[in-house]
Amino acid sequence: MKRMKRYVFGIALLVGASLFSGCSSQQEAPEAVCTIGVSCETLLGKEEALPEEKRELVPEDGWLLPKEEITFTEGETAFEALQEALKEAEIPMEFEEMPAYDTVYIEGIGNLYEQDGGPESGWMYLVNGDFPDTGADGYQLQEGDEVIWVYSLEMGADIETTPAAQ
Amino acid sequence: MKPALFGLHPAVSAGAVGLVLFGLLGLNHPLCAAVAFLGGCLADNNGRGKRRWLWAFFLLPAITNPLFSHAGVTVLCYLPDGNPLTLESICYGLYAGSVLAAVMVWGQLFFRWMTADRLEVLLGSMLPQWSLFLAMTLRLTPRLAERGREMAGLSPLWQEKGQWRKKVRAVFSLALALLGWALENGVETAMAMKVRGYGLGRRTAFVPVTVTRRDRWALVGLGGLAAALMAAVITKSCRMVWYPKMMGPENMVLAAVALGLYGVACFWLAVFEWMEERRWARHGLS
Repeated sequence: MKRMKRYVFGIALLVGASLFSGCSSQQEAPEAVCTIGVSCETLLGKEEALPEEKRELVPEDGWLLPKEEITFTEGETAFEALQEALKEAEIPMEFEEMPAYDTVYIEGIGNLYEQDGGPESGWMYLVNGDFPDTGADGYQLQEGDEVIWVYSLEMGADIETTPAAQ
Repeated sequence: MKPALFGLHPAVSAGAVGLVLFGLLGLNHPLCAAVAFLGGCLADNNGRGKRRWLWAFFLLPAITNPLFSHAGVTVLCYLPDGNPLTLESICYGLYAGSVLAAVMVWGQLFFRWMTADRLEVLLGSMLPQWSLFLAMTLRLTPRLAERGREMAGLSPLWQEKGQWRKKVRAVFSLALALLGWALENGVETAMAMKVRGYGLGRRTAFVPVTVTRRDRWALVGLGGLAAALMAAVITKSCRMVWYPKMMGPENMVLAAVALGLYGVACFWLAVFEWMEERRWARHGLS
């Protein structure tokens, strides 16, 4: 019986602790707005690069997820925002966590995978028209950012960038 | 009773198993896996093969594939790590599991039908050195196992029970003794072969079976089936696409023909075994 009591006490303690920690993390963080989108325009007219069964996955205008405004809480990363937006749009995404680089690698969005369009193809992301220096889960969103994921066929060489003037 | 297939030339049994595996991996259709599995189980009429582990081979890909592969357009839910669980990956996992199980069944059949002497008949004249090597290995394996059992019964040192550390030490010391015995045995075998004139010049292979008319017909039939299945594999007429969306073969008629032929390749052995058994029974000889 004594043992039983000890268990019950322990469980109560755990539940209590989790409740309290839940409360503290749900503090209202300030919300802000940014734009997000997923595009595979590079594949328009180059669908032959893809395996036959994947060609119909490319939308007519090339935008898997058309640009849309989303609200985010401070500290949210570009990757988290993408994950949320794609879940809402019911577009599957596969990614892999890479502990060696402390980042995530996006393998495929909407069943378009890395290397589907040739050995140098895969997903990259642009923030305000330029490639950031960090992985998507290392980039914290800023108010008014425009975050676009693009499917590149040549490791980014076929993506037009407009670097912001420093 | 010995499998009736022992009455046919070893090339027939090897070819039959090869054809089944070729179709299984080449045609790429879930029905093929089912047909191969059933055909294999039926052909193994008196084998009472060890099927206890087949579930593991079926379940391993069926469970792990959806956990590690997230491709597919039908998202069912999201896994705790954030990747989607898709219908396609589950179905492909089930398919891969059934293929693996079918391969295991036919692998068991292959080694039941291709005993060391029959393997020797097949390879003896083609690859004499490899066949010698194979024969020595195949001869050594059961002898080693038998010797191991015999030795384990000899000394209390090799029967340690209880603590796993003691057990491991016992196994290692037994393995060491067996290794010594195997080396000694190898030297003896080599000397015996030298004495009998091995390596002096060209040798003939001892082939205790002949190619009968029945074998010839069986081989011709297998060849025809192989050509037809090869055509089906090359034209992908029976291929199922799993990712990103599941799609069956385009031309149903061609696919049905290919599947039918594959069914023949998988089931004729079972039918043959059954017919032979009946023939023997009719003469009261089984």
